[in-house]
Amino acid sequence: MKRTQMMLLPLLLSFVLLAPVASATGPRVTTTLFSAHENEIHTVDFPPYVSTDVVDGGSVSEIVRTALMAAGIDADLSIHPLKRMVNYYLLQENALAVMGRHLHFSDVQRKALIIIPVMVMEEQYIYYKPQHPDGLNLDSDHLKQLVYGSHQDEDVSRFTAAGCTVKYGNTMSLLKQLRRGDVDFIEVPPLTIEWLLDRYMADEKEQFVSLPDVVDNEVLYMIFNRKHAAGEDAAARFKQALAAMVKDGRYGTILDKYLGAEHGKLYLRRLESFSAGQGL
Amino acid sequence: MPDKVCEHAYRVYRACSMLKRMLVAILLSTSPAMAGSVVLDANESPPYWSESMTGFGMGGEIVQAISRAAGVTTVLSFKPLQRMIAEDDNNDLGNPVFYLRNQDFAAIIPIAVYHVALFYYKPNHDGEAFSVVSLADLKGFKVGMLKGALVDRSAFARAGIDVEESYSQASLFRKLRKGRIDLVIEVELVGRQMIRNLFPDEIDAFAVNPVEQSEAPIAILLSQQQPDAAAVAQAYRRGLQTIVDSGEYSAIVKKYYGAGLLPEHYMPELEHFSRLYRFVGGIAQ
Repeated sequence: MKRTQMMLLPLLLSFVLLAPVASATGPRVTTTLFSAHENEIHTVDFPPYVSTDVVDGGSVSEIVRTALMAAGIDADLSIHPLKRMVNYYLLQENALAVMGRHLHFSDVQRKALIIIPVMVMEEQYIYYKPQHPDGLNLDSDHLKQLVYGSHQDEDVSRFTAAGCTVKYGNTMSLLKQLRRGDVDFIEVPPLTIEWLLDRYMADEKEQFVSLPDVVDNEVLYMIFNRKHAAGEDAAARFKQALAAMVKDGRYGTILDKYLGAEHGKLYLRRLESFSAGQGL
Repeated sequence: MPDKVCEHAYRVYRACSMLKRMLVAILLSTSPAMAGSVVLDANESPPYWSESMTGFGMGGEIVQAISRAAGVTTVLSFKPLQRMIAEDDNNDLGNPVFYLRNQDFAAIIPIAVYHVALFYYKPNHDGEAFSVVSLADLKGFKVGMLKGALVDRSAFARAGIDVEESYSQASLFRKLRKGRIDLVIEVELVGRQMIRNLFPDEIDAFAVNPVEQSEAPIAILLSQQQPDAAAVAQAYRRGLQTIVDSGEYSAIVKKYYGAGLLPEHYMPELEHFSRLYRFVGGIAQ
């Protein structure tokens, strides 16, 4: 996690400046309240990349808003707390588009969708040191005795095939399950772990340990809906606008602003190589 | 003799305390399938939830009516909001957004809807009506809101909006009346109540502009540790439907909003939130 520490200052500042709420039935004054946009792009809270608790909604929010504006698409991001709410807007109300990760659509549903990668993040395995004082061994003999903590719709086939038990929860819930020993390890982007631990479990931050190797790439996608009258056209224009942002440096500049110059370049490279690998 | 007076006073005090606890506990007939009471944590936020209001406020009355119709024994427990958010094995009441990052719930049952409105004092604006469509329309105004309510602080600053925050809703509306702030952004029902309480003779001097698409749910959130959570959720949903059908629900909310002031789309919005929070994958459950 050392690599992430150097560019955490803007993130730390972002939540230090945000005051706690006073009432559970109170106003949440967001720009969306005073947004005259024609469409909403629904997405789920995923700090520090997309979150109302981060200045300007986070790096991915700004990238998407910039691309939408460049593409002439009159839409703003609406950030929800649960993934199933995002799915509801896409599948039940035929929203123009949503943004998300851990895609889990049927073949029929997928045919109606146009999927565009926006950000590629590395993920690492995290465990709670007091529960595993000698470290965590993930070889095949040990895996079958372990419990993996998964997010909704995460692909857990490699863990179940190895004999792991799987339990589910959101990231904060999974961190607490790690601490209680209910799950043994989870897979999350390091920046997300840093952000959540700093904000909610700062006293125990050092007890949450990441395995050194990068284990996976996680991709955030824009998902346009062919069932929406403007879906196909908007997808084409958004894709073109995003590609232009990558090419002319605006994409990297936004990442640099939020994550620091070194990480901005890494994310840019990951997106380019992922898109090339997918033929996108 | 003084000892007896003290003892008597102590007994009276204990009796009052017990009575207060009994009032907070909404004791109703217990369903045989769900032995024990369901404890729901609430945060003091009148007129929706308040330990000192008759029926514990609008939300309290709705929960009471739902519980009675469902045959569920429900107890309201008032706590500070930060404690409600921090605890992750409790049942909560309020806007789900405040709790969902820190806790996974077994069920979320929207029971009411609230809206945000812009308030201004007409004499301070030369009696002219104005509407706010975009953030740019607020530029140049001093806008008051409750501390902690502003989510997109940087966007408001960039738009040139001068924000004044206060821990007290009453303070915001007094400043609005004096012209020290131009507009107040507040929950519509809360603002209307503030104006009625603080300036009963000037109610018509305040303009109330509901913000379009500002609807948010108030829900019962059942913890994964709640025994028989699925059965309790089903009973609450059934109870809600019963009181909606009987007109009891409508009578409660209209009592708080006042004649003719219940937002036109209140019930369709409640139904929408019910579908939204029950949706799982491709199938609504």
